[in-house]
Amino acid sequence: MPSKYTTISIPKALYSKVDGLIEGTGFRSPTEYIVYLVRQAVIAIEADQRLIYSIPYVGLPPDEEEEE
Amino acid sequence: MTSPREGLPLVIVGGDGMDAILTERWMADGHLPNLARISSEGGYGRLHTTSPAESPVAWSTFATGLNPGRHGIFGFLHRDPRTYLPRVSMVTLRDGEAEGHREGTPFWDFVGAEGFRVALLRVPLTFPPEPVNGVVVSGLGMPDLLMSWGTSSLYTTEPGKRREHRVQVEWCDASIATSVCGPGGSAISLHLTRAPRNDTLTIALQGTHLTLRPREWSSWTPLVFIRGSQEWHGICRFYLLSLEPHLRLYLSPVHQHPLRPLYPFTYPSSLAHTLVDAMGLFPTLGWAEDVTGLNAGHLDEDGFLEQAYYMLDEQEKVTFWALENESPDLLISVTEVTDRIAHVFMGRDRGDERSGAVLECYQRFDAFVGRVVTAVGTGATVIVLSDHGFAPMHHVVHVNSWLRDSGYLVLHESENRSPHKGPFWPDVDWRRTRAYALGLSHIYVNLRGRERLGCVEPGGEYTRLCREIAARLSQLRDPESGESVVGRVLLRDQIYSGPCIDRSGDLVVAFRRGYRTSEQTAVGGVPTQVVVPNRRRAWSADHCSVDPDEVPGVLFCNRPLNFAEAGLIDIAPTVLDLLGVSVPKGLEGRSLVP
Repeated sequence: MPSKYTTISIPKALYSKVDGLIEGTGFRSPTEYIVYLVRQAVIAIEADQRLIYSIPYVGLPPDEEEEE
Repeated sequence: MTSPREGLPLVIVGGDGMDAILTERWMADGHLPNLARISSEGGYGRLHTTSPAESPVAWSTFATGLNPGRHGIFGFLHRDPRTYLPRVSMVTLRDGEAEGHREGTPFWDFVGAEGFRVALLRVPLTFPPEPVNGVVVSGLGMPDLLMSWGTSSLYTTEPGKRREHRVQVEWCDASIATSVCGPGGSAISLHLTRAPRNDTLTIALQGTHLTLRPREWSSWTPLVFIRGSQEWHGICRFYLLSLEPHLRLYLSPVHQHPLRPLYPFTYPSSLAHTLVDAMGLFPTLGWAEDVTGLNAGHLDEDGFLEQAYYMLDEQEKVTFWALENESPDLLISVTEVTDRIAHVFMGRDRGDERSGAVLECYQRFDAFVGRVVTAVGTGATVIVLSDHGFAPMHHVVHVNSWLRDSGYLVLHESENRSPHKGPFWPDVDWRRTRAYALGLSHIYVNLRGRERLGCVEPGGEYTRLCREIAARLSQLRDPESGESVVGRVLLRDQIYSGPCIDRSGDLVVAFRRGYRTSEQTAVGGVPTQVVVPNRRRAWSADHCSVDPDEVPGVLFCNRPLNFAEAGLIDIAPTVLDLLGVSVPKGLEGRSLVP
């Protein structure tokens, strides 16, 4: 069964910094905190994109996108 | 406290996008008698819009009396220099919190501070509503239940391309079981049943049963989406386009329920309850005339026009409610219908039954103004204005494609292209790109120290590049007609000043009438050609990225004003002056009161 997780690389110095930052926050590891931050960023970007593509000046009906 | 007009209100009626050239022609032809009467009593003039002539920018300048460099709104979109991704300029929505991004103090705050009561009725960019000495019903900016600015659906048995929000359904005998998608992956069961004679459709959802004939609208229908412990409350309307030969049922964007909104949209928040008691359920979405649904084929022109005029009727209802119940000293009521109908119909030259759609819209607006004037009495001051005008849109310009062809925007060589294809900036080599366009009017320099992968040095190199792009882009010609495409390309320091100027692009493009920045440019697209015909089904005219001098708005007042050279930036000091409120230092416009 394929794993639900993958590995990404971040600089060791940054990882250590995160390790120091999470003390007392309830996050059990730098990985857990980084995943939390990335999730927040993705939610924010997706929310913006939903709004952006619903602006009638910007959003294109798919048929027209295909024509282009 | 009584107003300087012996207790009579100052009323501003806004018609978004009302065009000066059309208004003057139709007023001269006798089609707009109420506006003509105001003009004869006081006066009329063209109203300079902002650069760019985009509603968020223009209404922000109207509200604050400031240039965009000080109120911080430069368009619908701006870019994040850390990611090059587009961001929404008006508002940020996060987990039930809405944060407006306009800086500066709106003039109605100064009015309220003097004890005058104000009523702001769907004034663009009043979402989220801020406390005032009076009442607010938010306008442009308020999202639907899907957190978009209007997502409709079409349920149809007609075979067609699969795409989001086009729901392909099939009859099972005389019924269809399907669903309405809601926020957070939630859904509501929707059952459709046709009558034996196939002349009506019954719509059943959550205990509500609606029966529609073809070309008939439903009333507002409440919906509750549930997922886990979360509930979302909305209202929607159906429009039955056809039953034969194919079912085509339009579902409007699901507006936030006025009594249970995710985001407060009135001030005070209890005002929504008062209005529902007085008027019944009412639309809450900021952009409620569904141009997007019309372009996607979810709605037809008849349905779109009925929906648009319904919004004008709703605006009249809330305006009269406020006049009768709030006794405001200052009332501002803005309708978007004049803008939406012009977008769809103004640029078309078909000679068909829709040729008069924009005139009919202006006449309905004129009649609305007439009823307001009658209601407030002869002693009241009435201003009618628009934020910009309109121009036909027969071509669009892919500005990033011009930047690519001119050597300013560089794509990766084909063998180095990324396998990750997102919707924004396909294959742009940021380390070698010197300039890029995003939004409808702005070009940004890829500046070292500001952009994440900036490669242009600040100072002389930056200035030379801006001037070079401005000079070269100004020479762009339509390859088919040979016409000049660009009116002006302005450096930001030529038109803006203030602490927010870094939110602006480095160059602002202003096209000649007939041309507009393409939708693809707005989100970082780089298509093959540069100037192409406008292929949109239902978007034939525009104002964004058109030279502001070519799309002036209108200004009417039933009192004499200095109308010559009047601009939106002058409205705030003018209104303060008319109400006898001292004009605070820092406002950039001038009072038009003689």
